[in-house]
Amino acid sequence: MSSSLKKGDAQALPDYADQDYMILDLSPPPQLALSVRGLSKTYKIAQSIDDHVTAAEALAAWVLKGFRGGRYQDFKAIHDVSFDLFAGDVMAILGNNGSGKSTLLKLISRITEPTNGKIDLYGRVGSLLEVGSGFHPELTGRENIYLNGTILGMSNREIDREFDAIVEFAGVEKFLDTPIKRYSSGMSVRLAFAVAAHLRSEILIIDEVLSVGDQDFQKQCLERMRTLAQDGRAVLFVSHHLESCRELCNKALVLNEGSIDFMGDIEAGLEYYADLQQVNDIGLLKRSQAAR
Amino acid sequence: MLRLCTPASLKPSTIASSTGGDGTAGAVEYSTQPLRTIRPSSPLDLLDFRDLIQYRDLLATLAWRDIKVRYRQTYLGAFWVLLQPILGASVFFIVFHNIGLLPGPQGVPYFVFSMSSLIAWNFFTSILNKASNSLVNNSQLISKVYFPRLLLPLSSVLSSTVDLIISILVLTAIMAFSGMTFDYCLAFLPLWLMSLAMLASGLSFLIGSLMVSYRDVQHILPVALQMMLYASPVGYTLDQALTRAPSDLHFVFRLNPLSGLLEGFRCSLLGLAAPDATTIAFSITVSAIVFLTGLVTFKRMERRFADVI
Ligand SMILES: Nc1ncnc2c1ncn2[C@@H]1O[C@H](COP(=O)(O)OP(=O)(O)OP(=O)(O)O)[C@@H](O)[C@H]1O
Ligand SMILES: [Mg+2]
Repeated sequence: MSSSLKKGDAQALPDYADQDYMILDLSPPPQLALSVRGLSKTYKIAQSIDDHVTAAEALAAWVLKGFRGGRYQDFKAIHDVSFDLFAGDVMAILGNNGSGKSTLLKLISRITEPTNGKIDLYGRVGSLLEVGSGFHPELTGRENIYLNGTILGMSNREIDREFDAIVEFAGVEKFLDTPIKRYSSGMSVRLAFAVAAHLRSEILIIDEVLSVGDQDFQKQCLERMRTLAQDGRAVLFVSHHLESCRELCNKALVLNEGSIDFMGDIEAGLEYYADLQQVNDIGLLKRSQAAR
Repeated sequence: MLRLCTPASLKPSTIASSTGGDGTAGAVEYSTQPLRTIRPSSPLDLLDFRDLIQYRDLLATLAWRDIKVRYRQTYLGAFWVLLQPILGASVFFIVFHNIGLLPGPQGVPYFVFSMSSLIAWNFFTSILNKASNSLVNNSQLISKVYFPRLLLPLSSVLSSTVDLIISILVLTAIMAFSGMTFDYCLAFLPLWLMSLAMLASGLSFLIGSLMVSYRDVQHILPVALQMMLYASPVGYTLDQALTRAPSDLHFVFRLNPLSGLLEGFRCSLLGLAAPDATTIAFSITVSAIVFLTGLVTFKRMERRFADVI
């Protein structure tokens, strides 16, 4: 298998789930963590902005819409995406705003359902799409560790085991019994990331969460993620901070308008992404010149 | 379990040196077959409740969060659970007993009567209010984390049940203090409470999943509950309602599944006469049907929650 794939090659990937390749292949293949095949997600988006003035107008529009079956348009946020992720791989997902990065991560973490295609998971998925989801401001740090941990899929027993490590990582020992609402925003972010960083899952999914927190803490987080990958975890990492992608990842996947444009080594991926943006910039320039 | 090696061409470049270059996974083990396959859901998935068991700790944690948060920064704390039905019963006492001249049934003091009714009614409305709103109130969670969505309304049911148990204990203390005794009917208490919980949670599954797309429901619910209070035998017994209300209105009390459940609940606790068999059968059947309908609707709609909430 080639180490990088360009647009169109994606379909040639094998379907590991249906194939007992151990017998066919003498050199053992890498441990597969995740395989995505023909994945698509179509959202329904409202076609026109409803600007009704009165309730009666809104009601009339609603009745009419009901008869016409709604004025919705299909929008393909992810279109026919296929790739594999192996043990120890840290893959950066690059792409412009709205290219479908978060949607792809949401599909893999089962937050939203695919319209087509399938995802095979060979391990448990731990995902961090937002720092501190489920933190409650009225509860103390200690209580929030348990709340956030169970929300991310840990059992109480697992949290008991990791508790001290989490507290140490976050560096909030003194404030453990203070309500989160009295924390500085950086402190609560540290605590939230500390909980997620101690997930025991084999596949980790992280969406632009490191932009918060001070320099030291960001370094600490990157360090932690590197350790997690060294243990053999597979990581999918979305960030617009290309330097941390370069530092942390070994693979890259470039998304453009919902499809894979490039897949391969991180350096080549970053290069491809830079070129892509340049092409976009030139396109923009041409369009604005034409408009003038 | 097989330990597989990474061929050189695919060896992760940045970490190869630090893992000693052999490429084997260290602490983490993967399965050789997919643990889970994610696909567009089929109708059969409606019957899939495995996740609920895997996430059972979350159910308890969410209910516990509910209870804790409610009484944070209050002086009286959990005493509010005791005070609410007592204050409510006092209002009923003044309105229905002192002003409306309604007697308590069969030698039961009106205050005890109305307090027991209110405990059951509060259980019903507390589930309905909290569970229906639980999805919208946790929209941030729904769009950013996966967990079985059913846990949100279920945790509200659980926290309401804790309140219910506390208030029943207070009532029994008041009853013992005023020299009342219990009979064998008490054994049926779980039946009435289960049915009440099924009716309320079934309704809140429906209302909650509607509310995800149409927030209008949020405004209708309090009004509907207020009307329902008078259409149910809460401040009065079913008999009193039927003798005093004009006969055109009887159907309201006859078709209301709460009639049988409230009467049954009071029969168990206060030793009042049991409702007749048809009323009981009707109430329990309706509760079960509402529960199942709500559950199926919820499971059908839940895959769209994250997209539209
Ligand atoms: N629930 C939704 N309903 C309708 N459209 C949606 C929904 N969620 C996302 N989209 C659309 O899907 C597209 C991809 O969104 P997504 O959040 O995946 O982008 P992204 O690559 O993460 O962008 P960013 O870099 O800004 O985070 C966007 O055009 C967005 O408008
Ligand atoms: Mg995003």
